[in-house]
Amino acid sequence: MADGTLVGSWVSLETLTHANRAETRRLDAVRQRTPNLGGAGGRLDSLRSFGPPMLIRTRSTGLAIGLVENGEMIGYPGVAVVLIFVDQEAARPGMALEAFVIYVNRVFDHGARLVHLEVLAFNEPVLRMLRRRGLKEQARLRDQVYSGGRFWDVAVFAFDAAQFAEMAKPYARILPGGDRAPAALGNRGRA
Amino acid sequence: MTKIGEPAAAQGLMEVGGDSLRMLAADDFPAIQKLRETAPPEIFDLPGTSGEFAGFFEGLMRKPWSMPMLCCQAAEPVGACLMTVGQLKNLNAYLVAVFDEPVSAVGALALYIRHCFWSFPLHRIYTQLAMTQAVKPHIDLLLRAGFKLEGTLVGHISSADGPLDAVVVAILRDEFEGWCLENRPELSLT
Repeated sequence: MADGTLVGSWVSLETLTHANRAETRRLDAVRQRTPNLGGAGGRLDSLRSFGPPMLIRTRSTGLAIGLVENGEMIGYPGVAVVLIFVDQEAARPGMALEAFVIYVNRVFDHGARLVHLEVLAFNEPVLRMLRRRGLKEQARLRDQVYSGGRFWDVAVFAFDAAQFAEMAKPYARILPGGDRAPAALGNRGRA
Repeated sequence: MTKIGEPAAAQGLMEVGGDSLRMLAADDFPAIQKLRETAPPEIFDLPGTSGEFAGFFEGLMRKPWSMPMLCCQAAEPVGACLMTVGQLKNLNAYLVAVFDEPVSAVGALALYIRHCFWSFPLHRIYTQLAMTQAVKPHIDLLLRAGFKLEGTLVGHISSADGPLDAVVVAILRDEFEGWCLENRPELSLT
């Protein structure tokens, strides 16, 4: 798979370039104010990554709605820490999930052995989604991140390519390459 | 005369019983070399040459809150500890602690942890260690010093024998205080 643009049903992912720098900066500023994933900013200082960071854009409006990136976990060769940020004000339900699936496939294509996710304990929607897909929390880093006036636990998850393929199966028909147009990927409206 | 700002070895910076700490100095390569012979490389890849040590030492001096120290028993180095800090705002630090005899190092390690919490407004100190037979005495040492097991990173370490798990252990400031009151009241911070 060549670098450049990855096209899904709802979103496309494009490599960060001079052309989208202003949008990237705007999203980065929003991200700094709304830390939904642990480790943003400080963890991605490793020299190696499994593919470049990318901008997430809606296909219908062309609006840039998020950023997704990865870096090799320090001290753990072959393990990619993936960070995704989607501006909730701009995105529709399901777009983040589609971008995540497309990008993680790319990370495995680029040679990652494992994908490692760190989720702040207050990020219930993401925790629910990961658990529903059968992922078990591997570690709970107590009081690891200071955000919004207090310390928060960070839940750690990890999976390999085979586990990820299994997790993504329920979405296979509505994700790129599937045989159905996406109707709703998110869980809005459900209990 | 030592110039201000020039790293210099202190005599025992802190001493309790037979355990003491002193700052790691630029001429401490022999002590590190000796540790390298006994400590499992899975814990930390200590510098193997004096040139590597010089670069390693210089790098540590540039990092905030790294506090590299030699842990001594009867004034002889028996271990080395240092910290790495990702984001200062989170007030946590990753601990590297290697000892030649971890079974008898709980006092030395506790002294270092006490000095970390005493020196900086840290809330949490944590580390991750490979689950191997060679490393197990170090994991046991941390647990005896009050660290709590937080989970296992499955298959995160690649080795010649296949993927290995890593355990995550951590201690919070108030947990360390509780440990001191129960085990070593003389190290209490309050």
